[in-house]
Amino acid sequence: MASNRKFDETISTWLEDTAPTGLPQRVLAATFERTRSSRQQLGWRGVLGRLQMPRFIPALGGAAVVVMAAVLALNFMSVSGPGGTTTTSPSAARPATPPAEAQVTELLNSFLAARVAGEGAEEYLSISGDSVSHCCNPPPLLYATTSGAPYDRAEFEPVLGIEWPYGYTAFKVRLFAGDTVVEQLFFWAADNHLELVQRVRFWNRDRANHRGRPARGHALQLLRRRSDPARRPSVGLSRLRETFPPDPGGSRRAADDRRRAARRLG
Amino acid sequence: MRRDLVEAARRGDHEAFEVLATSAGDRLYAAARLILRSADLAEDAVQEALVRAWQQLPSLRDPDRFDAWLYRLVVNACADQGRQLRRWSIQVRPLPLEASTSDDTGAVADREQLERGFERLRPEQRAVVVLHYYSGFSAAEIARMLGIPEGTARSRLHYATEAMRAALQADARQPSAAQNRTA
Repeated sequence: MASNRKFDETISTWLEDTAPTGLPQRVLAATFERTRSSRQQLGWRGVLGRLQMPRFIPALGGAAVVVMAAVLALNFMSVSGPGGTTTTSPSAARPATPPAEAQVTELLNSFLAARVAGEGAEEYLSISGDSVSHCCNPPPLLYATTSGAPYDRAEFEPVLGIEWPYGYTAFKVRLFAGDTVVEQLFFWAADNHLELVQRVRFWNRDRANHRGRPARGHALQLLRRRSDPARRPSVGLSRLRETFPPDPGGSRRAADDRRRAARRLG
Repeated sequence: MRRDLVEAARRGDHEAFEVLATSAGDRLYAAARLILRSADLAEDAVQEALVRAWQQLPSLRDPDRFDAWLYRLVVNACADQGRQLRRWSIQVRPLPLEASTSDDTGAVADREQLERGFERLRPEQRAVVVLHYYSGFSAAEIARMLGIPEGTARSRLHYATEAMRAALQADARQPSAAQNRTA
């Protein structure tokens, strides 16, 4: 024990002996130069902290929250059945089934048809999210490759391994322009909104002239159709290789089904 | 008084923050330099920590914990510096050893062994050693400061101390082994 204490003292003394005397003034000066030119990050706590208000106001707010919660709880209990079973509205529960195949197919078909036709694809898109602020508007490669070659056809297919309802349903979209293929990955958000995240990469089909590096990803939002359907060109493009089975028995079984379907369809 | 300064700095008062930073600068720099064993890296770490402190000050819940929070920022900044260099123990430059007339730690050789033992420690272990043996914080205080469980702080302190002790003992064994060989 005594040797432990002696060793502790040895370390303390060694640290004190090797400690510097003080922070150089130039460091402080440089620091203050930076702080004077930078702003504080104001979170909700910071905003609340800056508000000049009597102390009872936050307490009053807390009480209001409690009262609101009680009212909501009572309201919730009032819609329970006589046997005590709670009834929930269908909209409150998260949908347990994937989006309708027809819905996805129609949307992607129309979107890709417009891109091949060279017009109207913007109607399906709106850029959203911070990730796109540094990117591009309109999105790149919408109607043609980087060399300007227009697309002559397109196809899409679901991507296996991204499970519903735990994440996103992914679609790999390919647009062909001669020997060049533009491949984009879209994600159908699980909350049934048609918000898609798109990542773009492209290569020449023979792979000899692989362009390699994917373009910077950006977020797009694929909207529901806003224009008259008759106005858009009807080009049969889709080559849907897999359907979307309902998922009553869990995601693993659905994944197995998808893999079997993929093998069956080659 | 200090609490008032912290509150003022939280509301964006630059002068209040500069008073706080100036008063804490020496302590923070000493801790950073002892952890990093490099004056340049320590200066960068302290500057980064103070800038982050200014930017994140509105999110500090309890003004009374300002000092502990500053230490936490400095330790994190030290870790960042170490990560940037990747090889913490190799890249840092040891402090010059100065023989002191009031040296009660034993020979200069002991200091060298302590230095080598310390350099072999991981950054988080170094931080705990410095905060405990130099700054005088208990394991519980260090745990709260760094946001780690108290057991983790104790464990890091224990292993760090044992590693440094082992370095000294290894040094003590070497001369006797040499004597045995020559005998």
